[in-house]
Amino acid sequence: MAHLPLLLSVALKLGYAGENQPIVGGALVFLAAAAGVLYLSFVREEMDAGPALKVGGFLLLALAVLAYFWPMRPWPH
Amino acid sequence: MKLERSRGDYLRKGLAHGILLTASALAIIPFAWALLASLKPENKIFTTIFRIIPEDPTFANYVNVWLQNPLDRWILNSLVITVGVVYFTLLLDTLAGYALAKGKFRGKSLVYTLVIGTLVIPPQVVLVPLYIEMNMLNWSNTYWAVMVLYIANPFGTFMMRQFFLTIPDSLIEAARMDGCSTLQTYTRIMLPLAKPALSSLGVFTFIFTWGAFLWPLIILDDGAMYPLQVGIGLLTGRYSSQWGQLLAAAILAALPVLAAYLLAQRTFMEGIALSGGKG
Amino acid sequence: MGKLEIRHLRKVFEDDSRPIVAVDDLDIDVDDGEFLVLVGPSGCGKSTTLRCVAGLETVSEGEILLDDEPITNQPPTERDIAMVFQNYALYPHMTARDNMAFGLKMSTDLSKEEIAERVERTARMMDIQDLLDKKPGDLSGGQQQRVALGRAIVREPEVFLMDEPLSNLDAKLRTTMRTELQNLQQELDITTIYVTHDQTEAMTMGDRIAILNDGELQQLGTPLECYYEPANRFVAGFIGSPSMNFFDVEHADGALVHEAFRYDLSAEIRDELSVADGPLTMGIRPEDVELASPDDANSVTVQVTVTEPMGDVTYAYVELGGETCTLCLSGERIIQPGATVDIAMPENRIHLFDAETGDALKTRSATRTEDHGVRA
Repeated sequence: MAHLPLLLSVALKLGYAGENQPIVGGALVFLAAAAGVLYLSFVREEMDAGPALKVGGFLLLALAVLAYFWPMRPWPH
Repeated sequence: MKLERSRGDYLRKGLAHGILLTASALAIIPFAWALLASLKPENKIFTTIFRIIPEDPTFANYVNVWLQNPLDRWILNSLVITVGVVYFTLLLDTLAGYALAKGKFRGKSLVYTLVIGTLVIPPQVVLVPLYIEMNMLNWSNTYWAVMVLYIANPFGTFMMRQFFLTIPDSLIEAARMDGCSTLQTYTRIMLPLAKPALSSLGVFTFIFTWGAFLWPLIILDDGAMYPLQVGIGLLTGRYSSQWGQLLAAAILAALPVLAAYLLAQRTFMEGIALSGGKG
Repeated sequence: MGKLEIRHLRKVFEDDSRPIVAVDDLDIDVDDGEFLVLVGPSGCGKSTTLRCVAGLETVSEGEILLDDEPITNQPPTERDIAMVFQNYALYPHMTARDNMAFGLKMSTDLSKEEIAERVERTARMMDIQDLLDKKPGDLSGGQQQRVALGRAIVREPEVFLMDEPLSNLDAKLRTTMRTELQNLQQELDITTIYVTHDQTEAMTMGDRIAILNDGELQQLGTPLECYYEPANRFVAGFIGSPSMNFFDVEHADGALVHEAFRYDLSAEIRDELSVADGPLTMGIRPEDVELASPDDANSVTVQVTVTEPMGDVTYAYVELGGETCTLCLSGERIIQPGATVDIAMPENRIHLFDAETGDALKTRSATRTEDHGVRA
């Protein structure tokens, strides 16, 4: 239970990507969006998704990866 | 007689075209000027201010602004914020719009009135309380603080509600007879039908969020968290004389919006028609 | 099996503070394979009844049983009931094939192949194979109607519900579809409840018809029963076209006294009509009014105001003591407006209703009399 405040503070800091931190919050955002778009374009056939949506889903996935592995460089660079 | 009338026609048409051309010029000339000036070397921008076409165009400004500033990071920040806002706006606004258009629950009209009511509050009024609120949440310098303000977008809710109102109730009833739960009706029937409305709301939101300046400027004070617009805005302060770089960065920032306009021109127009002329 | 029972059905809509009773104490039994038509003016509760059976509306009071199993509180899918909507309610973003398959996909665990096979079979039966890959927007009204029917049939339900399915079609197509629907229903032998406001549809299609007004059942019977032996004034006026003529009369001294005429009743009818003297409503169908000669008993001389030649018959409108009375005359007989004619109302054809409650006191008998062919 003692870890709860700690976990909470991590959760609250998720979007914070100060100096040289990988952008976890950003990666999560991209991942959520990618999941949504990919679901609509490949699982929900009723959506009848066009190529733009299908490509967009993978692009978002790529962005999520990019954000997570964002190159760390000294700040300001 | 006939000649006179056609002359009058020409006059009217000429006048209309004149007005349209003037308005277009007012919008396009600064942009074109910025584009052309950004191609001039830094030290020649003011000396050749009346020479519109640069003598020997150079991309030096673009290279320098990219190298001397963390533009890559700012673009990524802008992308995170924009993608998050567009995605969650579409998700929440369609759900809220669907509920407000087709749901049956107590207090529906009150909720709708409140949603519409927030449209009339000027955003500047709430900036300071919001700033304090975000600080109390310990959310300053986070993406959430920037995004959360734009995600709860009453205009989008209103637009989606108007759209869902046009869908006949019998479709939802047919879906119920066919065995859909409310959520299944939403994902399998309503959402696919809302594709045109979704794409125009998506483009609206994208353009609006990409250009957001004031709120991110207030809530973020860490340079690593700035979205592109704020980063560029602060270039003037730091390097007061580097107009070439500033213009280059501004052109770069405008490119995605331009692309969005061109790609989604048709849906954009339909969206404006859909929402009754409000953009 | 598809035996449907509606027991004491009551549906109240809470509109702000004022409750609106849409259906009140409705009792209907529908036999397996029967084609029942619910008919009535708009707002009579027929659609609400149908939607209660479908499960789209909750029931305020009463019970609905399907094959003796209560389904009153079951969700629509578990009722084994399919519905055809007035505007077809086809999903615009799906092809006709997907529209038909959607219900099977959502509510059964049939495999994709089985679903495809059933859709194909139904499409063959409905003759819509060529339309399967088109979207509803590319189909004409009649084609959409077929797909909507196909979507209901493919689920092989116990009961079909149809909510004015023909009202969006043009007149010619409606007649064709009417026959086709009847054939289809007989072929499939599925219990069907059909809602319409059109009495012609009700008369021609139904095995039995239920006439509703103000949320209450007025009469339930075969079309001819409702035509010949209407239970009350409302049914008498609603069924039949043009509608029955009504006269407010005083019952006194074994005669019916109207402003414009006096109608002497025979001893038989006087016996049958065991009511005290007082106001009554007398009714007679336009096609039962006969032309007579002036010295016939109970004949009245009237002036024709308007004629409507239809070809086979001519409708003539006459004034009778301030009320308009419609006559249905042979089309071969030419009558000009302004002409005077003598009319008689045969005693075995008149209906008598209580002036206050509207309940029928005397109706003409359902067995048609032999002198039927002799129309003046």
